[in-house]
Amino acid sequence: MITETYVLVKRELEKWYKVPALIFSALIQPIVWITLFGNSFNPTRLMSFENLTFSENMPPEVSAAILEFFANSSNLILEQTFQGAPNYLTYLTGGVLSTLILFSSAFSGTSVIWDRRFGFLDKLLVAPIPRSSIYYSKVFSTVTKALIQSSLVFIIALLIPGGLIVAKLSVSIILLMFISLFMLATGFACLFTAIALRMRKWETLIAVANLVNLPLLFASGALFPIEFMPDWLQIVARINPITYSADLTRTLFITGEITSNVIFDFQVLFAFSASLMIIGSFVARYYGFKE
Amino acid sequence: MEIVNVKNLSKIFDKEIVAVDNVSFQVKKGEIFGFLGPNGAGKTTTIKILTTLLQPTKGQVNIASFDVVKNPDGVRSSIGIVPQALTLDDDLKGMTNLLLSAKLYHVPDKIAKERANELLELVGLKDAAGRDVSTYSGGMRKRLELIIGLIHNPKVLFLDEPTLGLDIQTRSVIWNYLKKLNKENGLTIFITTHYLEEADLLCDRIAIIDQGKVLIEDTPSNLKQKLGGDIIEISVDSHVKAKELISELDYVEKIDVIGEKLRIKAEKGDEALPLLLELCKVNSIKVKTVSLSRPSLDEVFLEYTGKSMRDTGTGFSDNSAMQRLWKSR
Repeated sequence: MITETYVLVKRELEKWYKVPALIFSALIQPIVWITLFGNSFNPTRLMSFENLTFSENMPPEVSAAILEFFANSSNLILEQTFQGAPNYLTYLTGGVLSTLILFSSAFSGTSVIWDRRFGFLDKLLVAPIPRSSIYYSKVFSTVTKALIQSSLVFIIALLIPGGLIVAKLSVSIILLMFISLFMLATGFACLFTAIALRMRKWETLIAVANLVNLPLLFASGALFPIEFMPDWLQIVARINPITYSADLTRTLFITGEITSNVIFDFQVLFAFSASLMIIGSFVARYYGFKE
Repeated sequence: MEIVNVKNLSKIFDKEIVAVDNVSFQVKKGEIFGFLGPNGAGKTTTIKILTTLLQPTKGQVNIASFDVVKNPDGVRSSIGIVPQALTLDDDLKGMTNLLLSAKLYHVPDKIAKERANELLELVGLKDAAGRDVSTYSGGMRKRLELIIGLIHNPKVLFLDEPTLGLDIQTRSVIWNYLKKLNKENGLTIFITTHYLEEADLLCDRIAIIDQGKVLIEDTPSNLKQKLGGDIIEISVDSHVKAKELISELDYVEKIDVIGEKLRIKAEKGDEALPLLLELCKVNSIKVKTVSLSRPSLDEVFLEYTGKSMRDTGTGFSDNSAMQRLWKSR
């Protein structure tokens, strides 16, 4: 089972790294989120007013205090709203990394559909290998691709001037971050690959992916604190695993410590990926490859 | 010894569409077995069941003494498959495709490499092995597909329309490989085909299937024999006299006069012909032309299915369907 899965993952990755354009095109979107969205929609600059005029009756001490308040507003917003992050991009990066995982996993099923179209799947189905190894090869090649892409985005975010600032860069913190991104990727890849198993047209899969991608992104804590949202949306955000992955990653960036929040997020992600892996293996075995 | 044993096999789709109807046949070890039938006869469904891609509704199928339902992995390891549609990965090299398949069949790396080189040599793809399959021609793909089916040294090789759409040179090249593999390695080959000449040339035995039923199963020459004899056509200067004389020959079954010619149906045409010529010479009848033709499998096929192989290629079961289509345009 493991050998076969490995052989098939190798095949997928060989096809992937032969086309570097594929790898880099997938990086463009997260970089756009960080540089364009992160800079122009930077919420910490919302109150940086410069030309405030006061009425003449205003005592000078009061106007001075008000000016000082606004001058300091950016720090205040970061401290009060964005978990004390050093800048908004640091807050955003955790969310963008998780979103990148979602976006690449959502298309994980396309290769199943191509294999079915080009008959390669039939070759796999008549080979003496477990059916679930076909399924898991798709899942884990997607996970590998997503993790390689997210580590590239992580490095780029660190290199951008005024970008990601990490409180502490230790091996255990980086490892913990990648394990949680791995769990998020596994969960989503299991889900989307299972959905794609019986599909005959890749257009359907693209439609499903586009349908869920943006709602899942905005109904999560990836870009803004979920407290900003109306109550009903907060409920959605709280069952959205991206919220937990984003929270875990950014807490690690900001505090550099494994807080109780981090541990809770980690448990949620573990439950998410484990349950989808189990469901996925049942789907692959009893439903996905039947006639 | 039977290596493929199919007993009362049925496959019913959606509880009403009977694709395969109580089919039984055996393939002996080391023979080339041809499975012939018009489109929609149940050939592909049968081959899919035999290769574990579909589950039978009823009946038993044993391949290399493994049951396709109870031990599909045993069957899968014992068989090689050259499917009708191509199943290569275009983005990978020929060699990579081959070795990937070897891995899936658990062939040890060292043996896989040796065998891969041998097989690539056999089909003349050694130089192209390092190129991506997307650069291959149709014939090259088919040859690669063929050796992929052989990389794990299977006991039975299944070929579904292996030469469909190939030019005549490539076709005969593939026939030669198959014959060679069968003779030298004793490989059992199960082949479905549309080309009757292919079945005639390659197969030790053939079965004809139509509407889900096996109509007949025998050697090609026996099947042709059953149709009746060979046809000898001669034109002579006085055919009344000739007809009288010839009808007394042992081999002759029937004589028709068609215009200038005598059409003689004879049991063993090759033996009857010299006697016939001798008879004419002795009785000083002048023979102007002579021809001997043997019934082809095409006629056998027509006899049993009521359809000509060539007609079925269009996918229209009758002319009226074609006409309706034209009218509706």
